[in-house]
Amino acid sequence: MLYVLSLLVENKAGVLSRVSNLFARRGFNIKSLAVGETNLPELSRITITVNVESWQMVQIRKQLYKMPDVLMVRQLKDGEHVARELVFIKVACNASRRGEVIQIADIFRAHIVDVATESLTIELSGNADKISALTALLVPYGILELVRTGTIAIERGLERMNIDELSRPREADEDEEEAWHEVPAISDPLP
Amino acid sequence: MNGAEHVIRFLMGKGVDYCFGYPGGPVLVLYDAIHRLQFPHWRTRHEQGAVHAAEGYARVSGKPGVCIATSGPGATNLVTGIANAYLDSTPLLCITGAVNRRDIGRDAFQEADITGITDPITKYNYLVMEPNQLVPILEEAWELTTDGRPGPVLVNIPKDILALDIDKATPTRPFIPHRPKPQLSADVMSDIIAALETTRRPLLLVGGGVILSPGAPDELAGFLDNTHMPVTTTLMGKGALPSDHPDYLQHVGMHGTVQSNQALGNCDLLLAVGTRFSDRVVANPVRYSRGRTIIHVDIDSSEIGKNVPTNIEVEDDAGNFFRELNAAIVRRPDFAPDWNDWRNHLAGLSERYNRLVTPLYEPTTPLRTQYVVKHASRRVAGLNPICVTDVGQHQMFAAQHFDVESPRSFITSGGLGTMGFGLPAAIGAAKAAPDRPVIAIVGDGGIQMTIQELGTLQEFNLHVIILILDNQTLGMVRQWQELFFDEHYAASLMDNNPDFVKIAAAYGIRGSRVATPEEYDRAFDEALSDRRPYLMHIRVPKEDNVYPMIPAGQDPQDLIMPGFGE
Repeated sequence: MLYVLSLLVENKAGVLSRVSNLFARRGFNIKSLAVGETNLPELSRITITVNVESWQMVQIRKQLYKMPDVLMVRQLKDGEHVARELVFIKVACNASRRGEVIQIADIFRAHIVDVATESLTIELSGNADKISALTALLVPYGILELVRTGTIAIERGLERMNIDELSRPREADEDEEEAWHEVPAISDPLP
Repeated sequence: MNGAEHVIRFLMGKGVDYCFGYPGGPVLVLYDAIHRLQFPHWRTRHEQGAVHAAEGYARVSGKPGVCIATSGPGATNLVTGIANAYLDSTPLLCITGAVNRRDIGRDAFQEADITGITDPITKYNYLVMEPNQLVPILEEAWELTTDGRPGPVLVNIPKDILALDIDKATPTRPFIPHRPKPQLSADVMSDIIAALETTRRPLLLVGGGVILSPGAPDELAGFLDNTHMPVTTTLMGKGALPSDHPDYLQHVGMHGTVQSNQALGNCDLLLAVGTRFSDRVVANPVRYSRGRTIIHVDIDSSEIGKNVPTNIEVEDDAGNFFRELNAAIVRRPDFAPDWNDWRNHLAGLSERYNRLVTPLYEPTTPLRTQYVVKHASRRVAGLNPICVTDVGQHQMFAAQHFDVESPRSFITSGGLGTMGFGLPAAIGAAKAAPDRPVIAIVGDGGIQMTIQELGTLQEFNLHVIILILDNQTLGMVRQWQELFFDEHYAASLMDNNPDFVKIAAAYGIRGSRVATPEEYDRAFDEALSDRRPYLMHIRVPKEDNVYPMIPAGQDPQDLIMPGFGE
C-alpha cells in the first residue's frame, strides 16, 4: 500500500542522508522524496511516499521518530490531505505542431515555460495520475526530457504539524493496533 | 583554553575517571591536554582493543565508556567495537580526531568519513565544524549515550578545532531529551493483570534491558517473589537474576537449556521485557506469535512489533514497568493465579536436563569443556565473579555452565558476535571492578584476533584470569560443518596454534598449560594467589559440541539434546 509520510526535521547538513539511509538499511524502498525549508528557517519538511505493508509503516514511523534530527513524524491519511508533484516535459515539436501541443497543455492547465524552434517545455503540477495522463498524450510527439519532483503534501483544514506539539508523546495511529494479523485462539501444547 | 582542553575538562566534569585510546596525528593536541591535565588514559595496543575495553568498562560500571582514536585508520579501527556496542545497547562516547576543517573532503592524509561510516551503527554522531559548538555537542552526545535505550555516540573533531583557542563555549541550547517519556496507562496495566490471571502457562522472558535499567533487577526479584512466574533470560539478560534463583530456567535461545526453550515454545503467555526477539531466540517470529499472548515491554518502541507481532505493547523502562506491575499486583489481594501444573512440568524438564548435564561436570582426563567452565565457576563462587567471554562454542559453554551472582557480571558480545571481544572487554571490566575476579573465557580463535592486548593487561596489571579453551579449531564453525556441511572442515582447523603460555611469558604474564584436573586446580591456586593477570592454556577436545541446539529456522521446542528422549 502507498503511504505518504510528512516529517518535520532540523534544517542542517546530513539530515537528509540520515533519513534516506534509514530507509535503505531497514529495507524499505522510497518511492519519492521531496525536501525543502519551511517558514521557520531552522526546520525542513520532508515528504516521503513509500510502498509497504501496514506493519512496516508502523516500524518506519517508530524508527524515524527515534532519530534526534526528526522532530515530528506524521502519516497523512487518505482524503485528508492535498498532494502534488511538479513535472517539466520537454517535447519535440516544431512550428507546425506547436498549436496542437499547446492545446493539450491547456486542457491540463499546464504552462508553457520555454519555446524553441524544435522543442517546447511544459510545466505541470498535479497528482501522479494527472501527470501520467499528460505524459501519455505527449509520447507520440516525442518526449525529449522529463524531470519530476517527489510528492509534497499538506493536510486539509486547520490540521498542521506544529512544533508546539513537540512535547506530546508519539502519536499512535489507530491502524497501529490492527497492523498485525488476528491472533487465533490459544491451543494447548501441554503434554 | 584550546578545544582539546575543553574536551578533557568536559570529561572530567562528567566524572569520567579513565578513558581508553590510541594516539595519532590529529589527536596529538588532545593527548597533550591529557598529559597536561593528568587525565587518566589507558593506551591499548589497537583501537579495537580500546573500544572493546571501553565497552567492558561500561557494561560492568553502568557508566558510559569513553574511547579516543585518531582520524582515518584510527577511527575505522573502532568500527567493529561501535557496531558491537550498538547491537548490545552499551553507552559509549567515542571521540575521534579529524583532519583540519579546510582539508575535509580533499582526501587528505588519514582522512576517512567516519561520521558517514558510523551513521548506521551509532545512536547519533557529530562532525564539529563550529568551534563554539564543541562543548554543546559534547554535552548532547554525553546525554544521548544513556538517554532512553543506551548506545554509542561518536564525536568527530577536526584537528584545528582541537588546537583553536576557544574562549568561552556558549551552549546554544540546553539538551532536552528529544522524546517525552511515555506513561504506562492504567488500562494497559489492567489488561496485563487480566492476561496474567487467565494464563495457564506463562513465561517471563528477561532481556539485556533489565540489566541496563537501574533498579530493574531488584524489581524483577520482587515480581518473582510475588508470583513465582517461570522465568528465562536471553544471553544478554544473563545476570539479571542469580543463576541459582529457584524460578529461573536458565537462558533461552539457540543454545539455551531444554526447559527454557520448551517453556518458550509452549507457553500461552509470554511477558517479554527489555528484549528484541533476536533470531537466536525466535527464528520464525510470525509463526511463533500464533496461539499465544505476547506482552512486549521495551524502552525503545521501535523494538515492539519489529520482529514479533505483539498483543500488548508497553513502551517503558524495565525497572519502572516492574515497579508499576508489582504495585498493581499488591493492590489486588485476590491475585493468586494457579500455575502449578505448568511449574511442575517445567521442573520435571529441568530435572531431566540436570541429570544429563551433571555428569559432564566430573573431572576427567582429557578435560571436558563443560567441566572446565563449571570448575572455574566453582573456584570463584561466592566472590561475585565477572565472566567475560569471546565468541563461539566457549561462549555458549560459559553461558550454560558459568554461574553469576549479580547483574552486570556476564559480559559477552551478544548481538554482533564479535570474535576478539573477550580479552579487551575483560581489561575494561577489571578496570571497572578492581576488587572482583574477572574470568575471561576465550577460544583459541578469538584470542588471536586481539592477543596484542596482553601488553595492555600486563602494563596495567589487572586481576584477569584468562582461560583459553584450546580445541585447535574454530569450534562453532566446525560444529556446523560437522552437522550441516558433511564434515567439510573448510578453514576451521587451527592445528598450528602457538604456545599461548610462551606468548604470555613474552608479555611478562604468568601462565600455565593445563591438561588434567590436577594441573587445572594448581593453575587456579596460583592465579588466585595474588591479583596479577594469569593465563591458562587449556586443551579441550575438538569433538565437544554445544548442546542443546535449535537448528537454524526451527522453533524453540524443536531443540536437539542428545540423550534427552525417554
